Amino acid sequence: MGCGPSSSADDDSEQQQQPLQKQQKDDGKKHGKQKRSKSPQTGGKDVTDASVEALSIKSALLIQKWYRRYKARLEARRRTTWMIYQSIEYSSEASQLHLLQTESSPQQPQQQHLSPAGSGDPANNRFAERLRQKSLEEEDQELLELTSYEGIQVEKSYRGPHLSFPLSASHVQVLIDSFRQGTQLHSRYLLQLLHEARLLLKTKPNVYQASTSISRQVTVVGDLHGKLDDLLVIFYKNGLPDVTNPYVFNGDFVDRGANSVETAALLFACCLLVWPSAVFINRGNHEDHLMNCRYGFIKEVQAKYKTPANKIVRLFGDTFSWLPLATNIDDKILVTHGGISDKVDMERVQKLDRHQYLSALKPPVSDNENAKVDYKEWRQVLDLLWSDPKPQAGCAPNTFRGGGCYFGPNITEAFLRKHKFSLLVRSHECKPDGWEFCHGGAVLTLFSASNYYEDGSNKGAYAKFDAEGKPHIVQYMASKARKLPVGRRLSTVEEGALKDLRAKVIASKTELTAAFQRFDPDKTGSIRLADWCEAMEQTLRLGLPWRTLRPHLAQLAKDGRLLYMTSFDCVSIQTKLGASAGKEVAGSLTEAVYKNKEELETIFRIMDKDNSGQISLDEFQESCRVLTQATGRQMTEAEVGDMARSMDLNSDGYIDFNEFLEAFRIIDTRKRQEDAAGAQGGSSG
Amino acid sequence: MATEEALPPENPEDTAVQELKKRIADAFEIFDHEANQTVDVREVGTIIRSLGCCPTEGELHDILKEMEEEEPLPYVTFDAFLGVAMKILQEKRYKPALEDQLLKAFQVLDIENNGYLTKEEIEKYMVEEGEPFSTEELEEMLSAAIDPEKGTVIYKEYVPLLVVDDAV
Repeated sequence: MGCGPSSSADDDSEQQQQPLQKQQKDDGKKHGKQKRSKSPQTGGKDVTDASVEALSIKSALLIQKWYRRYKARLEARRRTTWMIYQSIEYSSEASQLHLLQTESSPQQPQQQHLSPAGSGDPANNRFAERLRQKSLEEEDQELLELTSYEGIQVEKSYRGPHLSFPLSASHVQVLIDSFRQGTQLHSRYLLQLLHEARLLLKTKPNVYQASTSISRQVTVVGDLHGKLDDLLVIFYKNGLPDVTNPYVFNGDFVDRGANSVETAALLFACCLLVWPSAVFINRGNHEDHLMNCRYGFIKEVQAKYKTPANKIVRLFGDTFSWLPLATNIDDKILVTHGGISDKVDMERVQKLDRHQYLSALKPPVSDNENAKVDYKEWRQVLDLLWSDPKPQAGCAPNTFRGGGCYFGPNITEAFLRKHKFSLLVRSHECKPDGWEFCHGGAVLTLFSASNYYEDGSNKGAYAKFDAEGKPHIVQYMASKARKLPVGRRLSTVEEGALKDLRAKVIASKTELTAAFQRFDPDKTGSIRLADWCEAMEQTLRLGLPWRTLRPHLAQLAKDGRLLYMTSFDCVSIQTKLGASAGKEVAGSLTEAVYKNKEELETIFRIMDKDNSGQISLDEFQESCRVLTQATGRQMTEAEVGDMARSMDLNSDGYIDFNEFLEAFRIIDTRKRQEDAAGAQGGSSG
Repeated sequence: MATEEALPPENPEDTAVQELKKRIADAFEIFDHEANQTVDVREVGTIIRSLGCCPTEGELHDILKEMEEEEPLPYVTFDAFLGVAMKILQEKRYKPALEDQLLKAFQVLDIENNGYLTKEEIEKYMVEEGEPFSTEELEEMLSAAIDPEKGTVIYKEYVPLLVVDDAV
């Protein structure tokens, strides 16, 4: 879904590597097959010298073309690896949305409520209930009571940073130093900080107005996804924010990374509170309670904060909904997290009530019978936060992700013209270099989480705009991986991608085996390569180049046909369940759980009203039932019951679902096989 | 991914041709960023090489000429690519040299028979002879090839690295 090779002639980034290699090829073409060498030592006068020279030219040529082929292979591998990561990432997002939208369909404008109680499975109703949002007034009061920090004492033994309000720049430095050392901020301070940030954010309009009239410049940062080290690199390279050094943070600073809490705390606290006129934080699609259920933020909060976790989660959720949706720089540049669509209208965006959208994924619903959901308005928010640019003209639903639109160059052009902008800056998509222009330079993607998929997978970047709106792009990579030569770094990243892909394969073993066997009615154990590719794509739907990937995934027989069961050789799902109950958990059930692990986790967290990390046995069974309905994957009551009981280690009627999810893991079976098989060779050609 | 058409019972030659076509299609697709059956002309070389061929820059120039229909365009369509690529692969043109030939090539450049080449020697040969490297290519090669302790390229150790990637 990218926009083409990332080199672009229209920007003046210092760090951009000129496509010398490509220019070089042009030169080669102009001057014919081989360049004469300058050979300083040999005079080239007599025959022997000339032939030595010829030989050395020939050797150099051989090495060069060998090297270029090596490079080409690396490039092909790198792109394939990238395709794997992205397709797994986006298909996961799509299934997330599918899960959440099973009961309420946005295509039916008449539907005002989620399915009323009594219609269908009570489990679904409870789930629906949990997703329902209350009215504004109720919620505010309730929220303040629920998330009060007043009662929380800071123990004498606490060695972390202390905050006093109003915050000052020195607090910021203290936080940075503490976080760098791995110290955690006390829940009391965190809650207090969030309350203050929330109050401030409530006063902001839906679209910030940023101006470079005083500072003469502004820095825009893209997705951070809990990568504190990247944020610290940026502050190190570019300085802390202040009136002369304003920042726009373009959303997605939580989920996935290990330090979402610290990143958010630093951004809200220090930035927003200490320099409120110089820091602009846009909402991203991950500043969203429902996304946080699945993508790690809530898990992180629970692990770090235990008892007060519930308060923190609730308060973050609400604070996120108060984040503005975009930033307007000098009326020239619009910065928003995802993008635009043919329906996005800035006037509409200015007027809507952004707080209603606790999660951008569900339309806001109230208990009030007469309240209608304004789908047109909801669309504005969804499109701003979820859309991706594409090279083809037009505007289409973003089916890859499941939300927002794909918008083409003509949509961008019309939008910019209508609102008199000259550039759209967005984030939302990981780019190998951390940045990418498309739509003829009208759209700039900035992604600031380096090593997003894997150590060494990509750089991060931020852009500094001057008062004329020209960007200067800075790249970085916050790890040791950058010191390795390209080939070795690629191997690590590639292995990571293949591991993820094999996990997906094993999680669909039952379905895949059935698909393979359809091509093998005589049960020979082998099928044609073409059939294997088709079965893989039809079952997994990842849009990957299966033929190219085959050597990493399955083995060929001597006759060139594919031994399809070897697709499952590299890894297997291990479960630690049942050990205490002394019962075997059936293979296909293990698979069902593993395959839907992310969905299950989402459902659990939504069910977990008090964010304690525990749910009752009943809730557990209900979750499995919801999952069955959403995915069509059958799990019998008996199976689920058995699983539930075996996980209730304390026999207190509660299951720690973090432990439950951890119990299903992928293990590498290749080592075992290598040892067992001895001299058996690897896949041929 | 295009779905495969149902094939009639196999004639082994037909199957081989079909397989080759699909292989080429896969390699092409990896570089088809806009998903519109075209690739940037500057990536044609990379795709051909990723399929296992080892042409020189000059030979690449000729390959491109074969693919271009009338005037040179900034992109190449899949159909144009496929025809030429099929021929190249079926005729086994531009086969890569064997490992020992590569080793010998380094030995030729190692005039004093040291068993290694210095950074300056590599630079001189790669940038001044044959089809010169760009600065970027040189730097990348050196970063992988130079033995960090000795500061030289011990080509006997480097050559296997260049070759190992060929496992696929």
